[in-house]
Amino acid sequence: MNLNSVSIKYFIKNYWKLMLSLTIICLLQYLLYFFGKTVYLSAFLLIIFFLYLVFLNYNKKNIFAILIIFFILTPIYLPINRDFGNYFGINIVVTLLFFGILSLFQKKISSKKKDEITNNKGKLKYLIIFLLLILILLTIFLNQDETGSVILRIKNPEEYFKKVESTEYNGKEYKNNVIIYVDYPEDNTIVSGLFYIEGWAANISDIPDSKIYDVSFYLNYKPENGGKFLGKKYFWKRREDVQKIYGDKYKDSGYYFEINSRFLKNGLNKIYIYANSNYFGWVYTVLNINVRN
Amino acid sequence: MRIFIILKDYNKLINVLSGIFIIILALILLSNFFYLYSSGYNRLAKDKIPVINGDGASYYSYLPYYLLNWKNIHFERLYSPSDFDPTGNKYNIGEAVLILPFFLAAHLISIMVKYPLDGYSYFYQIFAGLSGLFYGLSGIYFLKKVLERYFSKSVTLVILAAIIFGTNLYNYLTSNILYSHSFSFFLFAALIYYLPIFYANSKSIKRGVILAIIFGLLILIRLTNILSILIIVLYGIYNFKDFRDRIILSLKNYRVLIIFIIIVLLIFIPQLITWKLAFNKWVVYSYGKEGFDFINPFIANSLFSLRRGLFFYSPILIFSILGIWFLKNKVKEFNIAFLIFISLIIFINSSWFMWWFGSGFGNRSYIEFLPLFALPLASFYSSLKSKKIIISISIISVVLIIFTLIRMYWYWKGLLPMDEVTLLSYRNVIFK
Repeated sequence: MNLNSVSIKYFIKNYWKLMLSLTIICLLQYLLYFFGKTVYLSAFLLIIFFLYLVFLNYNKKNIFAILIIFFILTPIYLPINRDFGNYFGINIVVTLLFFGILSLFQKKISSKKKDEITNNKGKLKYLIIFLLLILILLTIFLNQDETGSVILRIKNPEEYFKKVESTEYNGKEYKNNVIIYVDYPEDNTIVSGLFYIEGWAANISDIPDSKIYDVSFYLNYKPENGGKFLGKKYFWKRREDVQKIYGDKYKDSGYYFEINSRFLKNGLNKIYIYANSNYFGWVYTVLNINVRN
Repeated sequence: MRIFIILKDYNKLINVLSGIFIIILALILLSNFFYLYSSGYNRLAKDKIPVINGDGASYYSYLPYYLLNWKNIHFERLYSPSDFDPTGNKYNIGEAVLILPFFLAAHLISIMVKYPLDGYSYFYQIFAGLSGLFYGLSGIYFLKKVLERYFSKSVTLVILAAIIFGTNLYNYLTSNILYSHSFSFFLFAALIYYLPIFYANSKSIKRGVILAIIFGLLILIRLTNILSILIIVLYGIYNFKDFRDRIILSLKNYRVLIIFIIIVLLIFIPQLITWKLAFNKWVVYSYGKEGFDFINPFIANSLFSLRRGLFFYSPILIFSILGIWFLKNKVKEFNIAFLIFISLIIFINSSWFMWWFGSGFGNRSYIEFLPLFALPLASFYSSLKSKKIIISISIISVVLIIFTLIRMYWYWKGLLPMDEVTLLSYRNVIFK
């Protein structure tokens, strides 16, 4: 590949089939992500795809082109959906690794006689089919809990997003003690442009392993009523004040999130802030903001 | 008058620049270091931050603790974070071993000028900083030697400038000088410099010993550096047969292999003793509850995020990804080693529970591997043929370097936060 001769026309002419199959792989990966399947299944799918490319006599040039595409797509996905961006990021690692391993075997493949290649192609075909079968089986049986939870969210969102008022642990009943506190902005604050929401969320029940999984933000309605998902907290923040009152377990209970108000309608908007906890389900608080752009 | 004659001759100019590059760089780094830390504290920082700070303070703490019997170290991060053993320092002892000669020099001067002999007074601070600078500069020296093996002197100079000023390395050669990264950077550069020398006569016990010292020190500084064994094993491998032959040859040269293992173990003894003293165990995972989450790696965050993304803070390295294609022609010995090693490093760094690696500028977990990134980067630049493309790439490179340096300055001034950088942080710096 001569770097100086690369043009978009050349790229489309030579790579459209590859691009189409790659798009299908990316869509399948998104489905795997959506249904809560492990990132390793996604990596496994990509490896099968690469083996298929080898079977079709695609060479290292194509694998390298795919690597560059992953390098372009991953940072694009990141701001749109951070979780999927990271899930998709495994493709970079797998492609780099496959590129290296392919180099190890490249000479061996190119030095084989024609009959031998045809013979090996037959074997590779069966290997690909075998791996595909394994992938399908693993997709069905792995991460069943996560997949079930996604299906519940689609089929019965009221049930999925429900708050558990009390739970039984080791024969003792514990009441829901999830707290969500918003430090900034105050209710009904006027905001414009980019603004942030900051506060803390903690599951302060006495159950030893009680915790908050994440803090999510929805616009104007509850998620079960069609509230638009805005995103999850950017990071947990150190909160020494909360730690002082509730103990060391809660030292990183602060949450931080940014919203670009230009994507919201002018006037009153409601932000539903949800904390998803183990034992007590989903608890929320509502923040009213006045957007003036 | 003479200088004008030299300027007329491009090759002569490059030769002169190449000859004095390390000296010029040393002067730049020294003046920058003393500009920041002439008083012992960072001049630009809002808070009072000494040279020995952050993670660097923990790496360094072994010296005053063991040599000066200084039990009352006041850095709260060294001892008793609630999650860890109350007596233990989670960081390895390797960096302290490398700083030792500088520490002794600082101690001697402190005795002479009657400064406090506590391991943290002025001369200890300055000499600790100078040690980081020395090893960082030595790493650049080795990297220069490596690049000159495969590329022209002009490409070498461009790549060195790109790596030093276009990535976050410069920050860890000046402001955060005592973090372990410049020390590991030095050893990785030394490793890739020495590998061809070792494999030119892999039966030589002397060469095996030198290689073992480099590898031993690497893991004495950071345990994850153990992955550098992949570079040693995969260097000069072009296909599977070469790999098989390498294993057979290594087993045939069993004497070198045994001595290599013995030397590495001997170098690691100080760490074993430290663990025994601190944790009452010979072998311990000193990071306590901190660890890897291999189920949910934050690869995109680690590479591209606003908070710490490698390519966001060191954007010039994007060209090193493009350069991977040219690696097999230009630096073929490192082609497979680079690909396999870098893919694993990206995966491991992204799987660390704190994928952003705490406070700092850019993603510091990749700094030690910059000598490796320099190889595809140089392959990329040296593959450019058309004048138009060379000019465009040069302009883009300069813009990217300036972009990195400006943000580094913001970080030094405290305008960009030490951690938790968001879009709002940037907006606040640019528009306020």
